[in-house]
Amino acid sequence: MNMQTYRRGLIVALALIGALPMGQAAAEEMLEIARPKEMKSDVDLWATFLREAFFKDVEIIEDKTVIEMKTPYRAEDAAVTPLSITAQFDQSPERYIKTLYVIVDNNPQPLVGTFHFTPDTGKADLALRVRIDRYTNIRAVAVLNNGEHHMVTNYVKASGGCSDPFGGDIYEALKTAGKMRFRTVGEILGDQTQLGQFSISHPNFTGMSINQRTGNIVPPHFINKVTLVYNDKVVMSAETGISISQDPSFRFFFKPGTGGTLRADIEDSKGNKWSEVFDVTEAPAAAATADKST
Amino acid sequence: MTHRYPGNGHGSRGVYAALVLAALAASAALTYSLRAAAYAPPFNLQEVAPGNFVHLGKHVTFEDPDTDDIANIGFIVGEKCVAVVDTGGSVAVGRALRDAIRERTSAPICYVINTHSHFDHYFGNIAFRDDKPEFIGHQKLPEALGGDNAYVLEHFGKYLGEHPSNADIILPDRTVDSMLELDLGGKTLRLTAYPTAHTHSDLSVLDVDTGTFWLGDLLFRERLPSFDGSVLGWLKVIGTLEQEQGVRTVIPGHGPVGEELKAALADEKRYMETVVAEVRAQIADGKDIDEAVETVGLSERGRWQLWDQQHKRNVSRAYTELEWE
Repeated sequence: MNMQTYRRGLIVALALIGALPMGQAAAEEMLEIARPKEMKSDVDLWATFLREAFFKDVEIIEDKTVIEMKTPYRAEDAAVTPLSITAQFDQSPERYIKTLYVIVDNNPQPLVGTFHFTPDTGKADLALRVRIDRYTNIRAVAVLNNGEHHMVTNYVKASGGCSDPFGGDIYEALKTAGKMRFRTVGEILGDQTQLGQFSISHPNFTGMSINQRTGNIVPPHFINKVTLVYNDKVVMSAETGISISQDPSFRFFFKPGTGGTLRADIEDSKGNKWSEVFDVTEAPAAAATADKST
Repeated sequence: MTHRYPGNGHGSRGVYAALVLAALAASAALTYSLRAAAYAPPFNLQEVAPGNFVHLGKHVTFEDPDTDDIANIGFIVGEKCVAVVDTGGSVAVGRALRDAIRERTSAPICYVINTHSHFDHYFGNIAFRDDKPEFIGHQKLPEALGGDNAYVLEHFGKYLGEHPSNADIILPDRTVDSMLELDLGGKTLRLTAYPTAHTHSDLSVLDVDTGTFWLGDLLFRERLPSFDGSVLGWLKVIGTLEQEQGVRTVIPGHGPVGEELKAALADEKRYMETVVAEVRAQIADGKDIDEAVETVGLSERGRWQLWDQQHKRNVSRAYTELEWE
């Protein structure tokens, strides 16, 4: 069986659903954590600074019992490096991944984003694309509902992803900012979970590249908040920063059941808000098969 | 900002001996420029059509020290003056090209045309600055080169000199929005600007009389094409190029000179069509970028040089373009 999605309509600037499990202020503060200016670029930023800055007084278990992470060893395109995190167990009210932090040590803004999940979504997998400014460790830290922090670390060779000239026409990119897409991917799994992909058209300016027409620095302008709600239940919510690639794309699991609506509320750093509702239905082909069998 | 280059013409040729001496006088700077530049003589050059001279670049990676000499560059000689088409990836290559011109003609260098915004085609512009030519490029070339070039300066700046800066990157004096004709004296050049293809600033040069078509990086042969602008846009432009009549000699930005236009374009067209079709299939099948880069276009492997350095990046770029179709 397959699910099919299509856009039902654009709702501009509706009030957001207040479903963030974590204080927005805290998330915003964490995005501001960056390498202190006096610190040389060759020091181990995690050991000397980031661990303390992000997770003061928290025990971090480095193992692969909760999540695994896949990244390319050498990023082919530093501005669009695919990263995927796979949960090692299904979400259940007794044991579930509450939050995933993704951190690129050597980026100007190390925290890529903070992603929140609930016990209802099936599985707390996440795939996204990040910018990588120089050779670096990438970390994913999963916080369980019992408070445990589990971390996995990968090393990635790449450079230039943050200051690489913007790939396209700045003015064209801004015209379509806020356009969204959602689609289901692949078959529904045995436990009724299905992969969904949510994409946003947005230049996600880092504040480090240059408007080549005017010669001025393009100020940072990026998606900083994403909330996805399926049939009134939060599937994933996130606070994100400039380390996310242009045209942010997220893959995650949800439980479509017999269909319904996925509502996306997004916000960018200039305070622009967009909302959209996508219908999720059974694909006609699958429905036809079902008809025949009855 | 002062430049640290000793003007042009450090070769030892005829009437330019005086210039050479002047350059040698600036010995510190000269020594530096020779040391920093990877390019080393001899400078290959062939007259591929009457008055059209081409220097063929090497198929090496961007990490190779010879990466300043990877592009095909050259010049066209008319009765009145000379037009340069691309200047190479370093001051040294630009100077070697200028020396080669001076071996053949003393006619003034009126125009330096840059076919697009990649450093291997324009870093040598500096070598021609003292000739005071008109630098010409696509309408979008100034915005591509005129901003902060931190990335290209950090990685390739050594080919511009000891303290490379934005001031060493020479912008066009005149731009082309669709078409421009230049008269070299008994020779007419037709410059055509294209919508986004290989880059956002691709320009071709046609020597109308001899049917010699300089395509810059709109055409890659042997060396794998690199996607920067738009792969769909590039395929459209290839369709436009194929319509050009009367072409007898085709000069790619990388790879050997060809004769038949459609045949010369065929390999890169097939590669791009293959990547586009297979990436579309991956997207339709729900595969993400990391899977697509491993599986797309493998039938093309073995037909191209520098595959390992460029192909996956091409697939990634095609994917992010095509997923918004």
